[in-house]
Amino acid sequence: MPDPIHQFEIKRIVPLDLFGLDATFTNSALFMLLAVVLIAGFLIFSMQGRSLVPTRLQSLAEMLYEFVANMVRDTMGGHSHDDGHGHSHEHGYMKFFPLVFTIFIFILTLNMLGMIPGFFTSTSHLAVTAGLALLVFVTVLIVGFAKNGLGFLNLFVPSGVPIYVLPLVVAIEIISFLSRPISHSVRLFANMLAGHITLKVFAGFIIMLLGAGGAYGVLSILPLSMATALTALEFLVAFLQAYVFAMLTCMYLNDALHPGH
Amino acid sequence: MAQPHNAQQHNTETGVPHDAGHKGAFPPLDPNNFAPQLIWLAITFALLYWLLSKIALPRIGEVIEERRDRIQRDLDAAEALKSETERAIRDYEQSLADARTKAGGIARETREKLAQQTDNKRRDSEAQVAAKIAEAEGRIADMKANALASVSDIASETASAIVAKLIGDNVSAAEAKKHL
Amino acid sequence: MGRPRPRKNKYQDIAQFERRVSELDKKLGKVRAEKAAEAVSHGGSAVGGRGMSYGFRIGSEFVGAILVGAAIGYGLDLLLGTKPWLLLLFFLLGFAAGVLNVMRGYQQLQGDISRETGGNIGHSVPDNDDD
Repeated sequence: MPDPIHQFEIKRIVPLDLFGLDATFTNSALFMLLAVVLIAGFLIFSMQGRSLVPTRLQSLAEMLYEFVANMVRDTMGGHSHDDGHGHSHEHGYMKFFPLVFTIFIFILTLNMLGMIPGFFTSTSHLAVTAGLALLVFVTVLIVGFAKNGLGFLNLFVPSGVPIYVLPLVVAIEIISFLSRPISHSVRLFANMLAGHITLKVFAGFIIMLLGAGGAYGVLSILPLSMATALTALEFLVAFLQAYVFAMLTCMYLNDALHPGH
Repeated sequence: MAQPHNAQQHNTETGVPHDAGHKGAFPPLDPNNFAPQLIWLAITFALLYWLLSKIALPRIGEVIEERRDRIQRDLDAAEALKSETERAIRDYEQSLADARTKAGGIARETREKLAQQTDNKRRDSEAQVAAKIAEAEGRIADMKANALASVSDIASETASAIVAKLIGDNVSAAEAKKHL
Repeated sequence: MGRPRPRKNKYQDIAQFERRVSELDKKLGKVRAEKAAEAVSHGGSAVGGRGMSYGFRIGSEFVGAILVGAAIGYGLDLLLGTKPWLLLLFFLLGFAAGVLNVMRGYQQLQGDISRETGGNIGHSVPDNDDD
């Protein structure tokens, strides 16, 4: 039976040293680079025609664009309706559209690449997901303080709370805020990891039963059908995790722009 | 999960080669893998962000915007042409209706004029006919009167002749007339 | 007069023309309706996965808050030498923060649903819990 952990092994391809840091080019880096090449290649190549009547590839690129644009608008556009001058706000939050789009398409591509047998899943490594979550977290902090100054701290002080429980509430709010990058990164990481381990284990069962031969080979139908169903589920999860990650990025950025609840 | 983790850290600290050291370790949580992955994540993500935000996304956005504008423009143009057509049709029908009522008016007028003319003519001819009849009647009356007058002359002459025959005397017609 | 024939033709022309105009009118109406429908429904683009994605979120946000609380408590204990007490306190605070996260997520889910169903929760809510 193959080791289900083996697929997460980091292979060091080109050892590099960057100012004393280990910057080795690994298989994880290779797949991240591959994702960048695929995404940029696809999005730039498909729009080559810039035609008003899109080709199939072009409409796929446009669909992705619209999907993320709608996500950003739905999650961050809520405040513009109240203010009555939506347009200035629209430009305000649409500034973050490239970031959200890049995060979404990057994670989606890494997840989907991982679904190809024998390929490495960069998002099944905590370092990658934590890096992305930290990027969002730091962006939120910078945007929050740049936009609202110390008013950003209002995020931790809910209105209408009696003074004697305020310290407790503020502590809870701060913990809740700090828990964001943790849940943000662990969710993606754990889902990809668990999904791939499960798939590998079922694949292992199939091989084991087939190897045993005879009646056991017939029994391998069971894990095979399970593995098929799980693969379909994993594709859904691969997409949903990218979606959830991007949507939460929008929500957190929205908090940075409008700290008052 | 904590135990293999610790054991793995221990292994790297003692300088055991990586491939050997990874046996039993859990790679996704191995701190040795953090730095290279984070660095390459930063490089690749920054590259991707730059490529998308500077080249790919503005291009897609432009095309979508252009199409949206174009469709809106075409729709507006179609709408404008449609209302123009409708107005033209309305105008045409209006003028058609005007012409129709005007034509009807002219026809009625002509009919009335013609009727009046016929009327006049008829009246004229009737008057003429009446005059002619009256004249004829006058003439007939005269002739009747003349005829009657001649009848009495003849009668008196006849009577005088009869008297003369009977009495042998010549009775003048005038005397005969007296006795009659 | 030679009038009636061309006039009749003209009537036919007008009838045909008006038919074409009304067809155009219908088409324009359809295009506009489609555009409006698109503008309304784009919110549901993630449809089927929405329930699942909330499931993913809520669980991890609850656990994440407890982990962060415990970690802060542990760190402060190390710093101040108050060994188990701050860990205990912050574990509880983390638990509270986890509950807060779940509540916020739930509120948002409800907000999303009511926005999609036009405010009447309980009617025509997409059923996502069929796994």
